[in-house]
Amino acid sequence: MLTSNVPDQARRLSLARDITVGIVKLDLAKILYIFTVLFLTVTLLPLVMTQSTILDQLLTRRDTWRGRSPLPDSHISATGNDALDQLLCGGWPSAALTELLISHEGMGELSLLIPTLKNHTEQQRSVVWLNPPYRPYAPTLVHAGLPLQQLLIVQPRHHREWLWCAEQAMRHNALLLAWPLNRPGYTDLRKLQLASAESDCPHFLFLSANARTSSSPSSLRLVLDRSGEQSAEPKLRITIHKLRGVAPGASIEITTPGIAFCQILNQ
Amino acid sequence: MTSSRSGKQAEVWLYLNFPLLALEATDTADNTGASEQACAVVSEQGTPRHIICCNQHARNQGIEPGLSLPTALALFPDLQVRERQPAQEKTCLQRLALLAYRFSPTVILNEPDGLWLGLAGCKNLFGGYQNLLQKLQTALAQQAITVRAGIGQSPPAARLLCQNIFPDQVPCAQTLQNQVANASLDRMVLSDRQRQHFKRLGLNTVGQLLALSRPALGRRFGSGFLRELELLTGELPCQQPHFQPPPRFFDEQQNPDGISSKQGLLFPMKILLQRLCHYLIARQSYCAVICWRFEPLLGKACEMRVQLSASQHCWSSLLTLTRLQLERLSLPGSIERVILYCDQFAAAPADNLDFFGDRQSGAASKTGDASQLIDQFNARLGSKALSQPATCAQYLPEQAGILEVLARKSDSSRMSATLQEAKHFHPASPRPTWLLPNPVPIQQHGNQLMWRETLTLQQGPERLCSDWWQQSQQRDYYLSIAPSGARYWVFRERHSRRWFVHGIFS
Repeated sequence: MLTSNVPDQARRLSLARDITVGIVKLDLAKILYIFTVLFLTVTLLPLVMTQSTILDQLLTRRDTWRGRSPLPDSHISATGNDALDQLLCGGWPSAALTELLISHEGMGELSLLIPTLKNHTEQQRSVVWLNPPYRPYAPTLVHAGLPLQQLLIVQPRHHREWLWCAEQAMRHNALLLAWPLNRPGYTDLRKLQLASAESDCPHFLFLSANARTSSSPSSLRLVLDRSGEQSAEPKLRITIHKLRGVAPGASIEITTPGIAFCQILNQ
Repeated sequence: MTSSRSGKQAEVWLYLNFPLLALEATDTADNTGASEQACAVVSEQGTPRHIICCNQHARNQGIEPGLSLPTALALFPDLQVRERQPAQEKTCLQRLALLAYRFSPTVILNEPDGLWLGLAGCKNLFGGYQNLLQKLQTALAQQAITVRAGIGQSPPAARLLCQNIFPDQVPCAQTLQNQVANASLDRMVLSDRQRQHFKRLGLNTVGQLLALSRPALGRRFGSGFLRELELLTGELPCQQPHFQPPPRFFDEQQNPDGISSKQGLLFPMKILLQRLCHYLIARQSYCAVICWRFEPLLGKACEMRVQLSASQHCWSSLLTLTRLQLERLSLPGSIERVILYCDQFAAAPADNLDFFGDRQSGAASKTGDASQLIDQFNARLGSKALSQPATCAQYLPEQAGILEVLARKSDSSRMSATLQEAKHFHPASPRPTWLLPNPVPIQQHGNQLMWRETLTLQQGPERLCSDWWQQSQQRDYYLSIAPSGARYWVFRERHSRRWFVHGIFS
């Protein structure tokens, strides 16, 4: 029994040795291969990665001009009107000051903003009405679906207070609708534009159409006036006076949102 | 761990002693520099007056507590002498107790200059005693106060082991027992008779005293002494009342030189607001309004109330609000005392934190922002400058849509009510976005209506009447349009047959 077992064991041992050598040989080649691959990935991947992340970061910056390509979604907020969205390359620019230059009161300029206001109040954001010219009529606002307790009306006494309030509202991430006490100068507008860049919603400044001749640092300036003189169905003409990436002068005509809004009420 | 869970948890007490409290409580903002001079506090009564406590500089000159004032002045004529202020000492101790209350719910006052903290329950909260002691030491260091501390298994034992070095960890039970046993009998609170008696018996340490038979000790020194020994060893639980934060906050800062500028007020205000915030955190409440009182040297005091819509613990935002409101206030010439008090509190709502720690996306941070914004506007512009549109169940437009003073808190029940109303509100004709608070009369040129420009009626009429018990008003409302494209809401008063503009479709 013992003698017959010895060669058997020896054979088994040699077989085991062969296998281990084989494994070792195989491993050397494999290990070399794996190392090369690892080395390449370790050295090359970060290069590729960093380049793409830097590019991404650059592209997501708000102040990177990207020609006519639309802004990323996070930087715009839809207007609720398709034609207007198209005109503005997506919607109102967020974190920016928008000037609405109005030739006449009562053309539906406020109704134009109602979908935006509704959208923002649904996100639990407050809306600050700074120095409104008249009393906002509560039943209409309620019917439009705006929660009244999220609206705040502020009446500052002089221009410095007005400026301070506007800046505070922007810094606290509230949507701002502002009507100036005195016509704001370039420095004031610059201050507001900088403050708005820190927030993440659009802010609106209502100015008279006379202000279009003076320069302004605002991101978007729209002129609202009436088209189709003396026709029974007046339309609101919205003209771009200034928008980054879009040539001034582009305009659309929409049915007065005030009337569209009235029709909804009638239904 | 298992033993503490299964049986009674081992008690750990920290004793804090403030040896220079009498001196440091009289420190005011302007004479903190006095710590470099020899300073002493004397008793407020008796002739001659005696030194109660003195700082290290005074000790170096040979002055020590118990000396009479003439002797002390003879030793060192330049000694700064202050009279003892028991009331200030008491408030100072209360303030320190409030600070200690942030670390332990079991705080016991030991008047006039000591505090006990029960640490046993707070170990896990702070992640171990070491961390707890470290934080406590840092907090005490900010108070600029001299502290001695000791740790023991019972309050008297902790007081017995009090030393100048602040402990950085809790020794094990055996070490603590040994320390108590080896402590000198002189450190125990004993009467002179007892002290002499023990000396005659040849007892020097507490351990020797504890080794004697209790009944024999009881017969010789009375049951009261026996009770004290049981308290020391922890056989008898401590029965003293625990410290509770006072129901209202009142604190003041003195400045004998007088503050004449608003800028100068900010520093004492900051200190007071920091204390208020500690108090609020201890009470787990928010304050609804804070009151400031500025007392000048001569003349009338000036008060200021800062309203808060929602609540904050953060002293810096309270300081901002106060500063904004201060700008509107005209202050008396030179202010000697700044007082902050607060007695209206609201229970702090149990906030839900975001599970993933992403507070930006939470709605809570945004509403928090809104209330902060309201507070800031309130502070700078006054409450009259702020309003909110509101609806009212009335027929006449100027009564149906009103502006009301800002509600204190967003009331969810009110909100749902207005939404309910909105569902039932189906006007027969369009309603404007702007309402002129007072209807403006329209000029009439023959059949032509003129307001800014010629108006053409487009839609209407819709009759709106006031209630019969009021002055009778019947109005026919029309939607009118001007050549510029502007739309106005106009009406004709039925009785006077006059036209008015009442709204603008903006």
